[in-house]
Amino acid sequence: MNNIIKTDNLTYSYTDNEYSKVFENLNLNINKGEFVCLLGHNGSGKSTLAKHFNAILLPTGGVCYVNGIDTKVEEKLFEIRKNVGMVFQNPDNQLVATIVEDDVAFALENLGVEPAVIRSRVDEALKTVGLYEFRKAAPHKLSGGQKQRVAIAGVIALRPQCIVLDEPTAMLDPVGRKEVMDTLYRLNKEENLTIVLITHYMEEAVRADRVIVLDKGIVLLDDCPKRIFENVALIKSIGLDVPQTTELLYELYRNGIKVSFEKLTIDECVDEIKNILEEKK
Amino acid sequence: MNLEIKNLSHIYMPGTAFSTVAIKNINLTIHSGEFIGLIGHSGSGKSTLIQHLNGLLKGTEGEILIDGKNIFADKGMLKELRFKVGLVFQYPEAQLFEETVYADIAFGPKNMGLSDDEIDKRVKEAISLSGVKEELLDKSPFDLSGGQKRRVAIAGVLAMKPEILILDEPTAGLDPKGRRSILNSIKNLHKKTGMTVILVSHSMEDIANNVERIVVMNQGTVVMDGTVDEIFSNSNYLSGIGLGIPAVTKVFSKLSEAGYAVPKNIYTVESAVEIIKKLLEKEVNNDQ
Repeated sequence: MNNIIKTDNLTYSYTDNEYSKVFENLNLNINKGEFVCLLGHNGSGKSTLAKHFNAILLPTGGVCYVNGIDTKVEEKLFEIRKNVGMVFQNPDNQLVATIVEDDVAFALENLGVEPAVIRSRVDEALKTVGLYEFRKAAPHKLSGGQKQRVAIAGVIALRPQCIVLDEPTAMLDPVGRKEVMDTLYRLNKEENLTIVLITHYMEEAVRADRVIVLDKGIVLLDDCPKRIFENVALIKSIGLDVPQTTELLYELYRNGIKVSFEKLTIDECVDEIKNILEEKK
Repeated sequence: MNLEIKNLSHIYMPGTAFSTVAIKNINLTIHSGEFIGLIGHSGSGKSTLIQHLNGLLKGTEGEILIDGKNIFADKGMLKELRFKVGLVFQYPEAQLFEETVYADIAFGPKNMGLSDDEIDKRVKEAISLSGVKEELLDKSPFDLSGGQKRRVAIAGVLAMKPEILILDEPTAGLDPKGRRSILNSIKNLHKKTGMTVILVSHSMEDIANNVERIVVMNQGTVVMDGTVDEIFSNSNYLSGIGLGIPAVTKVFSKLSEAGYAVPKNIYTVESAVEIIKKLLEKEVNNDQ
């Protein structure tokens, strides 16, 4: 079994009203070890979908599987939550303890893990997110980016296979955003952790393995970032943006200049512009 | 209405072990009708500074002058100031509380002691400026989407017809479309009313396309104050103090470092396209 999350005709509605379905018959596979970005405007169903991935919400139709387990099976709830951890938008709403290491230990303590094991797992998790030296600090004295990393440490202390993050950088400044993103990419590459990232920042999607664009509850696009952001007009039409680098190359292309606009990073964009300038010489 | 900040410093919990200098020795003059972007990373003192501008905080040292008069000179002055300087906090939708959108927007003008007719007029004006649809007026503010709630909260401040409008990160947490549309509303509002607007943000991209003047804060002090062009020509310094530089600015700064004759102060896709087009035309002409 290669997928960690699989949905089979997933349908969800917050009310009984037939017309208020957030999504209907959604089929999606998230493979182990993938870094997946979930994009979509506010109200496109991203967060609702993400909440199915660790059984916070249960499907009103169809099935959601985590590691092959149907999320509706109540006895398996702990196993599901242990495998898929969630991190939310507001750093202040998810930290519970008054000391960083207590916060990271919170879930382990609730699961009745042995104290010695808790100690080593907490230390390990804090080292992984680069906050070991802050283990005795009070969470409210940390920056937003640091708080989110504490939240991530709390999740990875459970040794999950997958982390789902719902706009974890929306309330952070550029420095905090970079800290969190670097941590996520490192966890993915070095620890082979599956990452599902919901974001409104297109530049965060650039480095992902795969981007899924949701619109009105359907999967509109599902591909690697380069292929996704090629669809500049489509993406803009559903209220999203493309990275500014892509937009620049796309505008040049529309002005009759021969460029390939499937370049995403700053350096790729610089090289592409250098190429067209050199060619003319 | 001109606003002058003179030698302003603020220390949180002075004289205790937790004493923290939030801002120090700030000097700024804000002229009537200006559209200013106030940027700086989290903790640089932006929010502390703006809370002084309508007297929510009183400086540990220094003063704020409105048309030359100290805002703490007398109590009446302070009350008037609160109506004249409208402050929209971060995530203002968290402050909505009334039963209907109408009542929420009318709350401010009601407290100003205005007549019902005048209040009604102001609510209607405020929603048209902030882009709230009229059919939402009878709804509960809690049934609205995040973007709509934010517009209602902004309308509530606009209904008091402030002369200076300060918005603390009005686009945080919105999707790209919501971000663009709120920023456009603010831009149009400034154009239509001539109101002084101070936009606080840590996104240079948000600010670049809209404001006329940028004030940059770092570690509690004002480190730069100038036109958008002047500020953006120092992109390396700006990223050094933790600010997000637009991707096109980075691209152009790299091109310039690589020896291409391009300006460094490029921050919009449109101007970037123009520059590259011109460069290409030039090369063609040289060939001929």
